[in-house]
Amino acid sequence: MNKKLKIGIGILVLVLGLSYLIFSGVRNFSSYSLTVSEVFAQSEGLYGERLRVSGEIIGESVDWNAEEISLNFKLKDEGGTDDIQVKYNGVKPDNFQDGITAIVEGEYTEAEYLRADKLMMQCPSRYEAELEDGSSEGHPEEVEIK
Amino acid sequence: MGLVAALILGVLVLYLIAYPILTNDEIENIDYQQRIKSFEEAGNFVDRDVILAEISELELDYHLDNLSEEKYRDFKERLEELLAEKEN
Amino acid sequence: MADVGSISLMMSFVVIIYSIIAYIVGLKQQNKRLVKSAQNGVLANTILVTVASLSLLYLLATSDFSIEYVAQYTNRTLPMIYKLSAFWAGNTGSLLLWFWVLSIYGAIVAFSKNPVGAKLKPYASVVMLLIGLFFSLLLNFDTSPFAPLGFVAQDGAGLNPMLQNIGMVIHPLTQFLGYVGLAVPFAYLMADLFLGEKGASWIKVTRRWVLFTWLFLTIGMVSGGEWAYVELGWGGYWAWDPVENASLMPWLTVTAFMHSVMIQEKQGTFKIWNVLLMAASFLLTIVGTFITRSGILASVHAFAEGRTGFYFLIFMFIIVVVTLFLFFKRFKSLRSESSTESLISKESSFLINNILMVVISVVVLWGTFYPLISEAIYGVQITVGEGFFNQTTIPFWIAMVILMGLCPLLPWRKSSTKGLKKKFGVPLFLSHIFGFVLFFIGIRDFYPVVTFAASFFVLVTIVQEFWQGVRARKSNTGEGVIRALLNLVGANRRRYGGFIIHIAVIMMVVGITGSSAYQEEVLVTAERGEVIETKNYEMTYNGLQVAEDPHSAVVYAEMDVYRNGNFYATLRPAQEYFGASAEQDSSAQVDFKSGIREDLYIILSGWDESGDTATFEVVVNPLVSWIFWGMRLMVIGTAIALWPDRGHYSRMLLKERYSVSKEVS
Repeated sequence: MNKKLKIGIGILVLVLGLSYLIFSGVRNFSSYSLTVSEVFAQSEGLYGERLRVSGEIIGESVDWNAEEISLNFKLKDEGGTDDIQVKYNGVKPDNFQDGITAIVEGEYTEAEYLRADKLMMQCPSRYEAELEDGSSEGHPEEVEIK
Repeated sequence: MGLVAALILGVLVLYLIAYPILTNDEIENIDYQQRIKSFEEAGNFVDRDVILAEISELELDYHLDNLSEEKYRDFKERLEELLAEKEN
Repeated sequence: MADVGSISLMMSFVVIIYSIIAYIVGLKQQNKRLVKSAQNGVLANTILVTVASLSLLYLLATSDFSIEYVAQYTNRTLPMIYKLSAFWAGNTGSLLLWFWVLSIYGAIVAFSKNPVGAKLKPYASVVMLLIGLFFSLLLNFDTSPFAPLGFVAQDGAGLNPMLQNIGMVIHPLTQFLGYVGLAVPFAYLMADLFLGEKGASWIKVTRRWVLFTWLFLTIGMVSGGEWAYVELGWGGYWAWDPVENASLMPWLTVTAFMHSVMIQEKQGTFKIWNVLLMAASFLLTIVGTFITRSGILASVHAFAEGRTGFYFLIFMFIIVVVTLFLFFKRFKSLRSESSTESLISKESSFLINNILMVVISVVVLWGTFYPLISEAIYGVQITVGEGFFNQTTIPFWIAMVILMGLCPLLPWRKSSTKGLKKKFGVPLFLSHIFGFVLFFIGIRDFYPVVTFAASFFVLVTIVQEFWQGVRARKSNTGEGVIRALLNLVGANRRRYGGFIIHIAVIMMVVGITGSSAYQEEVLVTAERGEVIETKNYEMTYNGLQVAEDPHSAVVYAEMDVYRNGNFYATLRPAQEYFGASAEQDSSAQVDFKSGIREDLYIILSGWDESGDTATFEVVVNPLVSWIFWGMRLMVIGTAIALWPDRGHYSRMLLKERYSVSKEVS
């Protein structure tokens, strides 16, 4: 009886502690995963929310300021037209180029830009995409493969 | 190239899977060999009952034609020798 | 050569089906010849898959760009080692690697000479073949590494620069050896359940195998971190990415299994728990593969190829259904009679350790799949960040470290308070002192202080254990200290190998704590000749240099580093450009100086056209090298624990037979 009670209390404490940790963790560290066009569509409703957005980098929008170490650029959906502005206080990661998919995480501000504190590049699949696009166009001789 | 490889690999595969079915060799040899050897190595730790059980299994396999006369005699002799050591 | 590869894959598919049928019919009719034929079929399959794999390696080595896979992942200028390691750079190639390793393991199972598992062996082989069948189906009918490109490309696309590192060789290979290795204990487990063997024999047969697998899981995970650290240039080694989590979860459950299995060996309890842990571990390796294949969770590692993921989902479903069916069928025979007697005993501390590991796995699983869970519940994908995983798991990690000090020293069954005082008095006292010393020298954050003190506690208990063993041996045999130590370890390899593994884990814990709690990072743009200061380091930026070779061009910055005013090192962080079109593929080549105390880690991020100013990321990572040295010590400890005894099998067999004959008589 005594032993069972002890074990029971132990399990109860564990379960309670764990659920507290999980729920507070989710509350403090979660961000909505949205596409660029979704952010664009419900822009106002997202002020102050933490978002995770993945999209293609628009090459000509990239503005890198070495003095202040700030990186501003725009993202768009693959094949889409909507774009959003991203401001990131950090350096350009490897492969930060036009057309590459980047994943950014940060707060969406009232000035309608994303203040990113995390910037990741998705790259391993990139080579595949290039080659497949080339070969599916039906001009195999002209395909330029780097 | 592909054809030659297919031929070689095909023959190899067929040999591997057909050999045990078509051959007259006994397949149990290895198992017994291994087990009896481990009995012999282990010396006095072997329990008498264990050897008796092994002998009865050997006999069963012999009657099921899984073992040649020659191998059967050899294995049985070795096991009985071990058993004799126990009895002393 | 490509047709050799695809023909052998096709033949392997046929041979697998034949072997499965031959095994089943042979076992049913007690036809030993048919079983032997099936067993040879397993060997034939291994040969075929090996031929297929070798022909892919040949194609990669000779840069045959008429093959899609070769053209996608290699090019002419790639060094040979990376041409070959492109084998597992893509989806279909890594499936072939999985299949290859599985086939080799399958042959090891089918031809195992371990007498204890003799009865389970053919059934386990069938399970191995069934798993192989899945991969064979994928490689033959979904995605083949030997698919032709349709034309001969001038040159290939080349391997992603980030993959061109020695880590590309070590990490995937070890990870795969570990992942696939879990198929073996799982196969024996299924065989055991199928035959209604009461869940005992499979554990005995696979004990060493599990340790071997676990070692590779560990090396795979840590070397992945080390690779990220030296290559990817963000100053860290772990980011709670879905794919990283996928390698952590089976590691946790296998670690739990290795501990709880000791209780079953000693007392015959915990059978159900062990069955569940192993089934979960194997399933988690499939989940891991599924995450990379399906692209279902946004990960930086994803292959993102459509259908393969879907097939994995079906495969997982089948595994779950079959496992649960067999499990409930044998549920009664698995139930054990006795239960733990005292709360302060080895059993109960093992139980707590197990619960902690499983809890961490569940939390990690929850966090990893939260985007999908939240989409199902709220209709929107919500990802949880690193903070979630850190906050939720750190208390459990710390509790586990403390248990590492307690478990090994607690006696089985029951313990008296007097004995406990004797064993834990010194370690407890010393670790408290250690905690206060830390507090005085300025390390005052709660988690780090507790973790360091707990680690110290574990270390002292282990040293004490070694010392007591050596002393006892010395007085018994009159040997010298070193000789006594060597003989002590040699005579109890499993126990002392385990202790060495624990020391290695402690080193890693210390490294992880130091580097995550006290990392310092600055981003700075400097002019030529300017001095960058951080912590006790001063670095002078001396301008950019260019070094070229046919394969790549490297732009590097020369930095003279002084520590506490004394010259420390010259570091050359760089950007490397690959291929002809210089602007395109660049990758940061970080440079760092590693030390026991801390690593100084510099990334060259960019520069202006003249090279007069350049931007650097400077990271000071305390104790980080402890993690990677801990891994090396862990390999040594595992090797000691695994080293075979002479006459090992004979003794196992005798034990087995002996217990059987006793039950009979």
